[in-house]
Amino acid sequence: MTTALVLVALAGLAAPYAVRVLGARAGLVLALAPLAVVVELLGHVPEIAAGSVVTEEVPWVPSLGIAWALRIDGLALLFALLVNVVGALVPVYAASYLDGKPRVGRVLAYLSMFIASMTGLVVADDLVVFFVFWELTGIFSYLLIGWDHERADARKSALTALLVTGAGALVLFAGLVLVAVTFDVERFSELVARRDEIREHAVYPALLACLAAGAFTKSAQVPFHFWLPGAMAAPSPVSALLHSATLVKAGIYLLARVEPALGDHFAWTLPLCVVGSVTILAGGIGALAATDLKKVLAHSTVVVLGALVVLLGIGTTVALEAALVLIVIHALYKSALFLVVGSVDHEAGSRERGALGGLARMMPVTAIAAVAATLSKAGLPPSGGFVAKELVIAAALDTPMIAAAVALSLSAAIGVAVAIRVGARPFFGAPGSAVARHEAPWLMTVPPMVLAVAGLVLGLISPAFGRALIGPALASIDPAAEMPELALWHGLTPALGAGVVAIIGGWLLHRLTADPARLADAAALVASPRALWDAGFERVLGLGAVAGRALSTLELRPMIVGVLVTAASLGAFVIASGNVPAAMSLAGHSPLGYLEAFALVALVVSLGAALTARRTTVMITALAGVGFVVSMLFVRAGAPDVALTQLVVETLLFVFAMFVLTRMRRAAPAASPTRLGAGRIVVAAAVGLVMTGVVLAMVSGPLDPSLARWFVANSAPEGMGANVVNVIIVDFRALDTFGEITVLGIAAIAIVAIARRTTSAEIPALRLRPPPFAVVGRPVAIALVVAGAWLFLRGHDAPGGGFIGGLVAGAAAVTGRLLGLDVPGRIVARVGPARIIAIGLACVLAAAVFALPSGGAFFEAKWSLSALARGLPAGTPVLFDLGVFLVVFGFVAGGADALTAHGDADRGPAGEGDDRGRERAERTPSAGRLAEEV
Amino acid sequence: MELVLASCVGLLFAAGVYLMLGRDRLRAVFGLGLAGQGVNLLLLAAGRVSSARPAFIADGVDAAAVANPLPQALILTAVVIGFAATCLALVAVLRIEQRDAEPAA
Repeated sequence: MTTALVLVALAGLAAPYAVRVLGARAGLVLALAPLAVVVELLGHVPEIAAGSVVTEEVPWVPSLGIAWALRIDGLALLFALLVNVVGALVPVYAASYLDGKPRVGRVLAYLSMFIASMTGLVVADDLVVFFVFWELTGIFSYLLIGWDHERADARKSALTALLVTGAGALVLFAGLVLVAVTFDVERFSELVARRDEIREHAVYPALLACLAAGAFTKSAQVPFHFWLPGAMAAPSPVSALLHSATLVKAGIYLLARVEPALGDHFAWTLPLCVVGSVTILAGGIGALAATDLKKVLAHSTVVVLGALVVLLGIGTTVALEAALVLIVIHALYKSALFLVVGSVDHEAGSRERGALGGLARMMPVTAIAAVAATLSKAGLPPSGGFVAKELVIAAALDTPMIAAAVALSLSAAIGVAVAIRVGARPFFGAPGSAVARHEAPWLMTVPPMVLAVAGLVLGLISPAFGRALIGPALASIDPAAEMPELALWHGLTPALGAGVVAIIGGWLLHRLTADPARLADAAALVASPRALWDAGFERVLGLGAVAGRALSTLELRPMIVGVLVTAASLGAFVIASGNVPAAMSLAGHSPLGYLEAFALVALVVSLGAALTARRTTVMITALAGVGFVVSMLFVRAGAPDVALTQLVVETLLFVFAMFVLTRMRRAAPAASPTRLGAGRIVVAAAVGLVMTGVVLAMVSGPLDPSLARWFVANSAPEGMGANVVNVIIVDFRALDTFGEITVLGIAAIAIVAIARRTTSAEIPALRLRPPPFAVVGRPVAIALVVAGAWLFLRGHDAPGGGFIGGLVAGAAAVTGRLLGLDVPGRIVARVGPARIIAIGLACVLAAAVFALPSGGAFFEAKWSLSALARGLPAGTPVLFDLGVFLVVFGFVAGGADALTAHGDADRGPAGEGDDRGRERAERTPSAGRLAEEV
Repeated sequence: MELVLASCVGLLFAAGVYLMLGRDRLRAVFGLGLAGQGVNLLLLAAGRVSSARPAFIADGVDAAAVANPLPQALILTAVVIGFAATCLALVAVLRIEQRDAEPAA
């Protein structure tokens, strides 16, 4: 199952390329991954139907009892199948629906990753793993709702959905922690055995409240129902997958999952029935009042979610059975209807219910799919929806809670009214003002047709469907339940009669509320939590602004002084706890070498020159001197690697600073920097003194040498390297290095992005071509590349390594830029610095996960001993170091590119992208403003 | 050596702070860089400068007689990160100066 999850997520990474190559047909390829999952799951059906479970487990954080534990029982199987069946069809539709729009690849990528996350959520047994997937689904939902991020309402809806479900998720996390801490339970599967203990424990109400908060926010229960209609800012196929079939069912899934341990208690039944019933009512009013068909569907989804919560609250066998069947059938018909509405919108250009009619003539296939889905939605035989509705009404007739029963019956009636409006009215009768010229492309007609027909077929084969999927799922909620056989025809039962009443009631509802104005007041009431939320959100932002005004002076210097004074006070504390005089006298015993004395004098001189320089160029030159002195100290302290790095960095920084200066064109210093401010000198001197004292206090204490000894002792036998510093960087502390070079990559992107917004149009080409440089430039550049590669290769055993090698090779790119050479500029230009960095990070990641398949740990080093014996350095740390080399090289080359690019004409194709970016910045005021503030 | 390092750290910090508190943004960036170098030397001193012999493993080398490699590894990456941070700050200053020079729209 893990492999399948990774496959689906990886398919997401390939999505942008699939779109580039295949265009509208990209979805056909992307559907293969969820289809493979479906095939794997179907293979498990017989054994799970026989009562066994499929499990998978890898330790993750053993010290906390957290494991990558997956467990597929009947309930997980049902949900996972649903997610992947709908997940296989929706991308096919989406690629065609969005064809020609910007960022299609991104939508498909997010869809694939969402499918993987949602599948992970339902098969996770470990509480923490479950929560991670829970959050991932929320994040992808956010990204998908906000897909059209140039629209303010899309951004706002996405944020609302994220905050509402995210807030709920935090509370849910508290609940999961409560479970883990109180009952020492890390798995859902361990909960059932502790049922009695949990229900009698004092934390039971708090636990229930926490889990319910998570479930209710995710599944859009009153008063959190308002985020779901807002989520309709997402494209229709996204709504079909996330906001009807899967994501919003996550809360229902959670409730079903914990029902055996927490259910059948008045503190469970009462809140669920009340909240669910109110949600049915609120969703119903919203659905009947809405005129946008997509909004109608969204509100009707809220109705069904409410009904599901009521059914889980009732918790009788028939109610649970009804819930499970309804989950499946609703997912099928509702996603079909979302796709149908998407097609109508796509072809006729409107989703307003008043503007549509008679589309069946032009869009016959879509109309058939709509009718098939409508049969289910309205609960008419022989559809699966009929089976579901029978069961729902049977559950309602069975419960003593009259209000819940009424609400459930009402939900059936609302389903009928919505079915008439969405599935029937747009396609039949007189043509409306919006007309379609032709049928939607086949990529957009097949998926809704498959979904709608599947809903019908499940009704026809309901006994088999019941045995294979519903029975096992019911057994995982209530193992003792004797499930009655699912059937299309139960005879003349009270439920059948009530169903007929519901259909008539639904038709009446439709007629009575045909004029949206009639429901305006009620709809406003239902929508009011949204206004409350918005007001609260604004209030929070306002509080932030108040706090910001109180704490920030918006002036840099007072804030720096504040930080420094705080730090210096802490430093004084350190000094007081150390033994400074002892350190002084200790240092007095070791003679001051002439090298140290020279370094000290040189530092004072170059710092003095830097501080008193009037011209910035002079200051930068003096600062390079400071860097060289510091690198001398590193040599003296037995740190050749650091000294080399420092030398190259100082050189590169000097060149980069000069690049920046040429663009700044400052004739004279902006203000007189040499003017002596007494306060400034006092603060600077005080901080300097404190820092000196801190170092002395620090070295006066003893140092435990065991760590240093360990690294030196283990470097060769464990790390296969003689250069201990390099082994630490690429092996022992590889995770640190990984973080650091990621920062490097991010900084490179930021530098390029900011540099693009700077100009240097009036500056003549930044190239030096005096004869000697032109002659030696090329050999020097080539030599630098060779030297960089050589330093990298020897780094594991001698001074060098990826960092130093990358910097030196980067210096070649800088030289090339300075002299206008094509070495190695042409290669860099062809691959692009960003891609070099990405390849480097990929190398590092590959080295990180290399040991995982064979049961090793993340970043565990693997060496080929046979290759080592032949003198070949074949091991993952070498690959890791290569990644470091590439990232550092990419950073330097990219920085040099960005800082020397001048004028759009010289920038070639990059210039076009730049203009696009600028246009976009102008179109979205907030993004533009943000960039301005940066 | 420790006394020299301590003095250098103090000098670098004093100079860095002096530049940071100035009016000129560009110099403030370099001031931050100087303070960063001070921190690097502080890290070096934290591991003690016991030996000038680099930590390379070879036959006959006593593990106790080589320099402490751990601070070196930390400083090495810190130097590169500091370089990246300074470059980013420089470009940001460039952008800000150009914006300030533009006539107000």
